[in-house]
Amino acid sequence: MLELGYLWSKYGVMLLSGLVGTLGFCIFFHVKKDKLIYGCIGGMISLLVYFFCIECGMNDFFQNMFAAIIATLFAEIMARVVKAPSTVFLIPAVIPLTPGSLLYYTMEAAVEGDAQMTKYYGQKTGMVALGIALGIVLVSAIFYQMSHKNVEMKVKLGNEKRKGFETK
Amino acid sequence: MSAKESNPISCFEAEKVMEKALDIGEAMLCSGAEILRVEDTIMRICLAYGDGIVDVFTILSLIILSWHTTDDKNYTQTRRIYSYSTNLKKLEELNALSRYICEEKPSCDFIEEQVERIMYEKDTKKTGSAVLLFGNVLGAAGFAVFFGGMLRDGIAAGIAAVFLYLWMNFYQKHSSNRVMFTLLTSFVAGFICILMVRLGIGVNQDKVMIGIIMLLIPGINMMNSLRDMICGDIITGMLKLAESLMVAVAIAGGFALAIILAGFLAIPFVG
Repeated sequence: MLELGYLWSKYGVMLLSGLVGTLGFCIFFHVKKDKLIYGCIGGMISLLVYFFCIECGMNDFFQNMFAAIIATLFAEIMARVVKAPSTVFLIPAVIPLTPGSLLYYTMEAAVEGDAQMTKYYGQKTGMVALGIALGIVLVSAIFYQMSHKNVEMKVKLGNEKRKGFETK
Repeated sequence: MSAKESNPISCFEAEKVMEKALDIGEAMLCSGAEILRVEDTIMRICLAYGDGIVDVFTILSLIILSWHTTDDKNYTQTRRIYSYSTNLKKLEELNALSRYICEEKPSCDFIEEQVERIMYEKDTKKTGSAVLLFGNVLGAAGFAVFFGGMLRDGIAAGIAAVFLYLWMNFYQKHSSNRVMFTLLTSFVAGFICILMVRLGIGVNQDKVMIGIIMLLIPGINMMNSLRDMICGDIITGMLKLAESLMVAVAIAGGFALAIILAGFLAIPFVG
């Protein structure tokens, strides 16, 4: 199972085409030229985790959740290293996980009037979307608690100012 | 007016500073920033120029900024946001600019100049749109192959992406309604995809369509909406989530219409 040749024949095309697609989307979303490489690395990391999870035999939900967790970790760390908004790194990293094909098959089944398949694919689309969302939420909530105390700061700042007014 | 008077500011007038802060906030919101970032930026810029109580309220389509200055005057300005997209380059530059403003407190003219430079630079140049087109083609082709298509499907998706890009450029000027825009665009895109397969360029119609769908799908919006909700901006998160769900339905509807219509028209196979 750990044979590289086998893995390459199974996932090589997906990895390369996913990278090309991610690069295309980085350009599409106007990522700055010097940040393109980070976008591609992020896409590659989330793809590799995704393939790893498939090999481990996890279900759709966990495949996407773990990939999203690692991608968000990467984005938040890079944001602190390179000093740019974390969105710049997060968006390219999550793009290969977007359930575009599932949405299409849901729609196709609906057009053909196949209620059972529509339900099946619809549920799958929802599961994948939920998995990605949960993965992002988990990590960014932790980072938010750790370093981004903007809200607390804002409230504190406002209160101090208000106190100042009252005493005047 | 404040302790910061040592730094000579030619234009400390609350109204003027507020206008510039709103300009930056609007530009950030239009480039796809989180609400928290927008509110924080506006508040910091205002407080960098003078003291008082600054209150900012931002949702997807509106910014309200009110400033009670130390000489006991109230100023309020609002800004309506009509459309937004994702432009990470502008977002990054605006973020850097707002940091610079808070540290250096430049004149209002300088801020205006910089915002204008960031927002309108390269948008009109032809090289910029060529690069964008290239990105579109790469994205569509890459994901058509990624989801199990053959190389020919990738090429077909790439060609379809060129037409889609031309159509979007043409139609974007006439529409600001995102849902209707997506519905019509995906209808046209679905039709182009079917043509591509019928002409014998693509092999699997579903793979070509998936490649194109990836360009339209509001995955980024959905992700941003969830991040907004974690950060405490429930209203905007709900608005964005509802919108991205509507857009997803519109995509499905548009492609479905195209498939049904193509079935009626029975465009003959060439390949």
